[in-house]
Amino acid sequence: MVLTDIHFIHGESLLKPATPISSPTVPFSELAKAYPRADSVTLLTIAKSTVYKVEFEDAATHVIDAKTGKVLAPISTSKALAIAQQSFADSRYADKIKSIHYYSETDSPPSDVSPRWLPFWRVEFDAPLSPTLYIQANTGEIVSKRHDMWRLFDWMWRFHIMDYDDGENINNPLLMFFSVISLFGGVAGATLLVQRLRAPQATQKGEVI
Amino acid sequence: MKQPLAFIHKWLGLVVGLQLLIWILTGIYFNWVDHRIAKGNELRQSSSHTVKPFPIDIIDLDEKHFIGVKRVELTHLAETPVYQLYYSLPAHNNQKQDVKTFHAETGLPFSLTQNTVKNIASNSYSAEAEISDIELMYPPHTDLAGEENPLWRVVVNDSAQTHIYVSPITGKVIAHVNNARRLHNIMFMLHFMDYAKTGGFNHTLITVFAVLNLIFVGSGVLWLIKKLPMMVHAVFSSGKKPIELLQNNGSSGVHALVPKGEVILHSLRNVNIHLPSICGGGGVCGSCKFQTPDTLPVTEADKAHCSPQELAHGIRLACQHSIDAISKISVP
Ligand code: FES
Repeated sequence: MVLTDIHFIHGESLLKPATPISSPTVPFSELAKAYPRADSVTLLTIAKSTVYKVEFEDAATHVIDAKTGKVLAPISTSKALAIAQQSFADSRYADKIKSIHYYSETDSPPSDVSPRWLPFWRVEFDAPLSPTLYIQANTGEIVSKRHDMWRLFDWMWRFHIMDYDDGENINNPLLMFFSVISLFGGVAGATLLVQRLRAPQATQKGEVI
Repeated sequence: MKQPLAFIHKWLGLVVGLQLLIWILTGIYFNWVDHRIAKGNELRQSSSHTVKPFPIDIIDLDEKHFIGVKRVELTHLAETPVYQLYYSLPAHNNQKQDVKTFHAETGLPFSLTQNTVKNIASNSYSAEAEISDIELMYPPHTDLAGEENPLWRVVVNDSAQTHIYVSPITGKVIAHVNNARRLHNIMFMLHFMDYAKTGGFNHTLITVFAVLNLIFVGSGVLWLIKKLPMMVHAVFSSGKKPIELLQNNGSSGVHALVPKGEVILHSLRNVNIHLPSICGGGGVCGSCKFQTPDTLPVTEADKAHCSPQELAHGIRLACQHSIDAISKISVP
């Protein structure tokens, strides 16, 4: 685990760096007037277009076109594809899509992504390590990025903490059982080692091993 | 080096053994500890904030402000409407952030006052917080490895020596660091061998130790496999056999009934003959020598510890041969 760069595992190299925003046609003050009770109003770029994301305390979200001021509908298949292709860092594979799937709020999501992002689009590229992007269906934001090394690392983590169902519970009795046994083994080994090093040379031929 | 596995296992054990014990012990700590308490959050509470509506007289930022900006957020920071301009979008919050904050009504630069920070900190602390010091600290932070941003440090006068860290950018509480958390930090540092306080495990030292440790464990497993036939034999055969114990001058001595199917060293223990053994029967210390007139093969370990003359005189290591192979024995 220590050999693999954790930022690579997190898929941080799968995406192009964020592009700067262009100044909005509809100003912030109008948004503030329209949604005074919003928690926050954020101006950001999603697939080359500048949009406002209005978030409320109850997690409700609106996305508004910063040019027209219109509320945008949830992301369509073609829009999800466009977002995935435009954000994917490796241009050799950007147009090679293996599969695209929609997961609604009631679907059970794939195991490599958190259900809190539902509903979302899952876009898998036909590229080495099966890179996969998850695009939130309401906002169009890329909420998760996965590839086979992430999936492998996830399993190594489960082995590491000996939690084989969801890999989330470090405080599990199986791990305690085996680590205490290892501790006995370790202490016994250390004792043997100390004895070996302390012992006078027991061989007459004099080869110390 | 007659027994490469034993040699590798011993010397690697010396090099990586201590770290292996540290990994096991800190692992047990992580397994056993309540992580909410260990992270310093025993007295942490989320502050209930009520959303204030945006005022009607929000001003719009001049276009030149948007140059090179990745994201702009209109929100409230400590109940004040503000614009926050993000010049970079790091993947993790502890990475260097580049954010400018402006008051959304005046357009002037805005930052949290010491008093606001104090309120944020005490609201996050579920007991009465007696605050003795507030200071804006710059990285590296002793209490928070890997944190690259400046943070307000609010020192609480309690027995756990709590320091509350507040982000000057988001006004959010980053961590409560108390003595429990400091212990947790030390455990992490040891587990990750992160003596340079990078906050991570992608560094050369731990990579080298991990590889050496793999070789250490591997050599041990192979050694065990090599010895396995003898051990299996000992477990599955039963019954006793007579053996003649010779006098030191070679003349006939007494007979004893000893368990079959064990190595000589262990079998003789049943009749209270305790040959010296330092390595516990590993074939590596060479202290368990005995002599027999019977013909016995010469193992690697015998060769390593007995001179050719000794071997010719039927001297061998008692942990290397089965009692089944001999009928007479003389012990020093
Ligand atoms: S007991 Fe150590 S070599 Fe036999």
